[in-house]
Amino acid sequence: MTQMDVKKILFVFRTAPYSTYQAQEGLDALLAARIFDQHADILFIDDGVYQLLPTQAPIGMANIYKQLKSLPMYDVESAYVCQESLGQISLTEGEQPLELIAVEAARLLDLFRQYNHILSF
Amino acid sequence: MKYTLVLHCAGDDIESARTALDFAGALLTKGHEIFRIFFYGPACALANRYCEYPESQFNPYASWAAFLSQNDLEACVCIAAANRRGLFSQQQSEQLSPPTSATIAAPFVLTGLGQLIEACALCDRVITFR
Repeated sequence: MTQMDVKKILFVFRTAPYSTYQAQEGLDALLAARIFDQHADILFIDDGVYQLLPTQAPIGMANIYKQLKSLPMYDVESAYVCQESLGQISLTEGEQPLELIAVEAARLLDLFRQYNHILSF
Repeated sequence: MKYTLVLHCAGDDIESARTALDFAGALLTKGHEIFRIFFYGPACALANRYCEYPESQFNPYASWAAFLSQNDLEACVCIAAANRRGLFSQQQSEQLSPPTSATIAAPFVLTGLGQLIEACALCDRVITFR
């Protein structure tokens, strides 16, 4: 691989954790970005907030919640969640898989503008 | 500008596959550079050369393959996402039991996620089609 610039990439997770492979494939891409030393942050929005629930017991798929808990080890710097989407679920602070910054939907455009690229899953 | 397109659309999501193809064509017409097309998730099925459609209908595989060859573009298909959907390269197919023909062949190549991240690092714009 050639010498690479460091870009700021926002990974947007907007699907439920297990109905498709989207969530898992997004996480795989996120870890690849960190392995190649890119700046990677994460945003949960729409049905993506269901990935944050602690009581996941998937059958035959890797547990997304546990993988999210390990993200600080990979130096994923900031994890955002859309405040309105978060309102869909009941999640106490202690149950969060990682430290989350709530962003109002109206402010998301400001967030997106801080990134070179947005990859949506 | 230097672009990479990332496709997530399933093989039967015709509208999305066609929109991405039209967008890619428009980029070249406007003088932009397409660095790479990355097929991820369900979009790996677009690279399956054994998909058949009635003659009068849009054939996403054939249309994409022709466009990629004509413009000499790099088309990367995520190997893990392809394999879990039953799509294999020639080398992989020979190791299957029983051995079979490759489902993924030129102009598509099976690669890792590093190619997606490299494209993000090197391109001005990365556009996702879902």
